[in-house]
Amino acid sequence: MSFKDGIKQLAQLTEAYSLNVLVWGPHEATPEHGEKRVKLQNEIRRCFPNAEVLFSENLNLLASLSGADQLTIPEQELWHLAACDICVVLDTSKGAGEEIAHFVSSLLARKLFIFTHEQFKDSTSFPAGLRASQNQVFYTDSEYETCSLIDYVLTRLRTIALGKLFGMHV
Amino acid sequence: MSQRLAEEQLIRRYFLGDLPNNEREHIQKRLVTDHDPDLFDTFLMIEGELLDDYAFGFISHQDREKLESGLLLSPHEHRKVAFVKALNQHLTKNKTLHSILAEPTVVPLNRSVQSLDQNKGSDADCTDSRVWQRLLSEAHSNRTLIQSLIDGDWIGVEILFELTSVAIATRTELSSLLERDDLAITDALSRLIHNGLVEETVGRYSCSSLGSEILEKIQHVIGFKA
Repeated sequence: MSFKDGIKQLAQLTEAYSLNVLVWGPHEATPEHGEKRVKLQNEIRRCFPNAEVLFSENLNLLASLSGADQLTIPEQELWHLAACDICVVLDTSKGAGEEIAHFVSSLLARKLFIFTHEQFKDSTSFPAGLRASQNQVFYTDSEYETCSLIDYVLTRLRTIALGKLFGMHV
Repeated sequence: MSQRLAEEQLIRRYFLGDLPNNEREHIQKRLVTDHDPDLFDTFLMIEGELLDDYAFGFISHQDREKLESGLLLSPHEHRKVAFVKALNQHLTKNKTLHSILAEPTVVPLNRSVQSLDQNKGSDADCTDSRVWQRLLSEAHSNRTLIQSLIDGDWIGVEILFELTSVAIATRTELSSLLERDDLAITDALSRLIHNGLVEETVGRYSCSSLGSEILEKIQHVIGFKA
């Protein structure tokens, strides 16, 4: 096998990795933003055919965890976060920010990949450590409109998948 | 950063019983004589992760057997696993997780077990914050390292492959061997050096020991020996 073939195989194995991807953000029914979340889900599924890409509302925790119906929503979300490899958060509303505030200080924060509009760069209340470690990134209107956020997500997913193949904490 | 990654891998291999005797003794000696709190924290963190993974069944069959024939022979470790399992059941049934979520810092099962064991009060909060920071920065460092391999259409991996083949090369030689433009090679080399995967000595480049380790991982994943 040549070097080129080896690299091609590595790239294929990376994209074939069974990633568990959670997408948090506005509900599908929310105009524009909801649609963005579905678009993101479809694009991830296209590039990572074995990935499971779910929204919180699609996850049936009770199917895998007895007593899950007795948990509150944040408790259930903590289980979701623990089970996923990466959680992409579209921080497009005040509500979404408050929703994830519980988790940004948790030891699972490394799994979060939060997209916040650049206008909140100076006012975001999330810990600065998240920005330093690239777990929170700021987007511009044009990046949002042209869907280049999806490229960021796909690059992060490739990194996570290869890290998982290597057995590294990513 | 690269040193930290190598250290983590070493400790993980230590717990899985994968180290030769001399390396095992060396690491045990360091733990006793170095008085390095970071080394001790890393030990606790990796041991905790392995035990959590074992308790929740998130571990390969092979690693499970290694733990059962090594680390878990210690009755203390068996008690920890039993406690994590029991705590998990308790949290699920009694919604105690809510009280954990109400704290300023969400403490995962393993940390809560350690905090209960150590009963350190505010010291534990301080440790949690340090661990939070370290987990984030380690994951970030690892991602940066991996990106240095992937960026530019996997040019980083190509360079590592070539450097193990030719041992040492100049930028121009690499550019010619890989049939890539000089700028792409320069950028990729800079990323690889930054991440400790490649070393430079007077304009000549070679694979570092970390680079060789990563290459071994790649070869293991694709089942290909350069």
